Amino acid sequence: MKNKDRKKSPFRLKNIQYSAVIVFVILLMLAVNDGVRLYFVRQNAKETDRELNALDERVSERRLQREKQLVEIAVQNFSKLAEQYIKDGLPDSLYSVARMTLESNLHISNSGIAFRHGYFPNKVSDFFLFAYRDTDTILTGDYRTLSLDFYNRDWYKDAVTKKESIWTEPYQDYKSGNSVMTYAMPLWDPDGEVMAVFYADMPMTWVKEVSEVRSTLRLQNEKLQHRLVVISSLLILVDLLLLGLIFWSAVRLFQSLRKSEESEARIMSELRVAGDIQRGLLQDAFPVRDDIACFATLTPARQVGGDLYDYHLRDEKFFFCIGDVSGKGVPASLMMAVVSSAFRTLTDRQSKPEQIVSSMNKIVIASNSKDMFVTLFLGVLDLPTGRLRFCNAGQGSPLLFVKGDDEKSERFESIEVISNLPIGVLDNFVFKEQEIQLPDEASILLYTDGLTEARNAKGDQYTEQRVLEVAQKIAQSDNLTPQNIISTMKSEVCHFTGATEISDDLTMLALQYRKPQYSFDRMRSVTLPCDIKHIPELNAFVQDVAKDAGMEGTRIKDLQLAAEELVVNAMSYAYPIGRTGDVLVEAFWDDKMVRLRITDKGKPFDPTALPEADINLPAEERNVGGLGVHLVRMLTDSINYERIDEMNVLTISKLIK
Amino acid sequence: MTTTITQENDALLAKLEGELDTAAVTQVEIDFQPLMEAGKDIVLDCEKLSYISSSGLRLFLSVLKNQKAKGKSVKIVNLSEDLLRIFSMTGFNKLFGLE
Repeated sequence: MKNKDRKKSPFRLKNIQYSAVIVFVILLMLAVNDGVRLYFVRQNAKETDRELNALDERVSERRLQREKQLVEIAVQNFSKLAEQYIKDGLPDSLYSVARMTLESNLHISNSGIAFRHGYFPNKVSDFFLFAYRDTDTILTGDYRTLSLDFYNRDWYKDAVTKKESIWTEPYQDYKSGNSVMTYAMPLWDPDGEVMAVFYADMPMTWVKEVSEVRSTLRLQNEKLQHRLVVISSLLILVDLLLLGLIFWSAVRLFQSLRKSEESEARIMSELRVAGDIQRGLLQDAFPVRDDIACFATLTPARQVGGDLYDYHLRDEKFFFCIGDVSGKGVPASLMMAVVSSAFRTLTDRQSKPEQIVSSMNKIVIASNSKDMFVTLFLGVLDLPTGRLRFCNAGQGSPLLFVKGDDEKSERFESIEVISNLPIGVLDNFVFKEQEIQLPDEASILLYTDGLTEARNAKGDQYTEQRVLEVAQKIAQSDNLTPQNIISTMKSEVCHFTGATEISDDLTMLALQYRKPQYSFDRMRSVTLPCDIKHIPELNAFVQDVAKDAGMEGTRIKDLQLAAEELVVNAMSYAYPIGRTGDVLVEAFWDDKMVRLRITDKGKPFDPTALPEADINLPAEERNVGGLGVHLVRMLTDSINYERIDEMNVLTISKLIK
Repeated sequence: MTTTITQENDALLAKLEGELDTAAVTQVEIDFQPLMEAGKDIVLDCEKLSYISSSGLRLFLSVLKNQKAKGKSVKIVNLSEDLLRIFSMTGFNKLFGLE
């Protein structure tokens, strides 16, 4: 049980630690994931950008090539026609060639033929004809003056110099302001000399468009990237915040858990101390006597429990009880302590079970604010006679084991009990006691409902039926010692419950009674009328008996004084003033012991229940009441009171030596 | 059981002889009357007292209370060992000046 309590809280703490670590790791992974994703998004975006650029370049390049090719084709095709017209002497038709060149290719903005200086000596020295676009139409024109500088143009110079078709680098067209590339093709005269250059301008506006689109795309891509970066950064930030929050609350949680663990540990240690104190309240010094043997066990279901047993030996009476406080834990244990101490105090002064239980009832009610109650069985066994008086306050029937008729056979039975209310329920409840005569060697077993209600793993109760079956076994075992009864019962119930922890305190108390066998072979008696003037007769009687029994000196006077005190008590209290009666004094003795029995027929009076005299008070506060009985206890070896058949019977014993 | 009272300086000396059992207490109470009324210090000589019951102790206690109320003393002398035992058992040895 202790182990369970110790393990419980660290296990809980560990669970929370595990959960916190798992959540922490998950969030950390999320954050890392976001980070990695962000990195790759950026890398990817760069890569995409690069690829896009490369693609753009490839696309532009290809388009440029295609466009150039188309221009080349147009120029080459019409160059044949142009050469034919020139050969045929139809230079005017060349205008239409230039026009057709433009018509054949929408991307050609300007086309024309520039003749070498002095090619037409008769007409003009320099001739340059062309066609160009003006909004939707194509116009033609020419230059026939020497002021033209087209000979200095790149396309002309290159084509003439290299004597092959060339493409210029892009340049700004002086007329339109657009970026333009020019394809120039030399035209050959029959002598194999360059007679003219056929050219076509290809504006680069589409290139501009493409690059514009590309930059727009890039811009969009960048915007997208930017958004991604922002979103990812926000996500990471949120993750980090959450991580921080979790870390913070985990630290707080651990701190508070450690605190609560510490306080739990403190409570547990206090409970252990309380349990130790409570176990200390339980008797474990069992009487070693010929006439009574007793044994008891209490198995608590928790550190502290509400079950109790107790016993007390006074004036040849054996007081015992077994009880069960309603509820469990600390409140029940406190009530248990109250009941236990009440038992000791009360049995010291009272001998009647119904009085003792009634007083306990009042004590419990006075100290009970939680409506707890206590089921209790309280017995008082008079050892010289074997009379058992008991009061059952809601506890239940004890088992009685007795020797059978046959020497070897024992039998057992449940003692029939009146069901009084448990104590602590009703203030003025009148408890009723019962009385039975215990035969020699009889044993009694008392148990709390922790026995009958013990459960196994399946949840089945042990039940009274099983208790009775085990009792049958015990009865047949020929061993009715309290230890054997309890150990047998306990091992059987443990066998039944197995490893299942008990849910309620389990308490058992067993006792065995052996009737004292006296061998007093001498006996003498005197009957005294109820008047103290007969005390000298008593003293003479006791002196004679003591001397005859072999007593000497002080012991004789001790016995005489004890007898006088008790007889005077009987005369003073048993018979009210005006009533007379006799006091019978019987003396029994053998070689070892003298026993005096003082019997009166007066009203019940138990001097053993008188309050103890306080012998340490100053004279002014002294009250000599109880002093007599105090002296009797000091001067004899035992005193015993019994009310038998309407008579007060007091017995004192004193060893002869 | 006899009681002999004599004047001894300023005090009264009472010699007790016999057994002071419950039956004897009634007579001794009467014998003690002059002691109780004198208003002088008292010495109880118990040399010859062989027995005392709790009734006798009670009588001694009433003498003590009476003397104390008058500011006088009571002293018990020559107590036998047997009786001293009884006095000790009841705490009376602490109440009286014992010699």
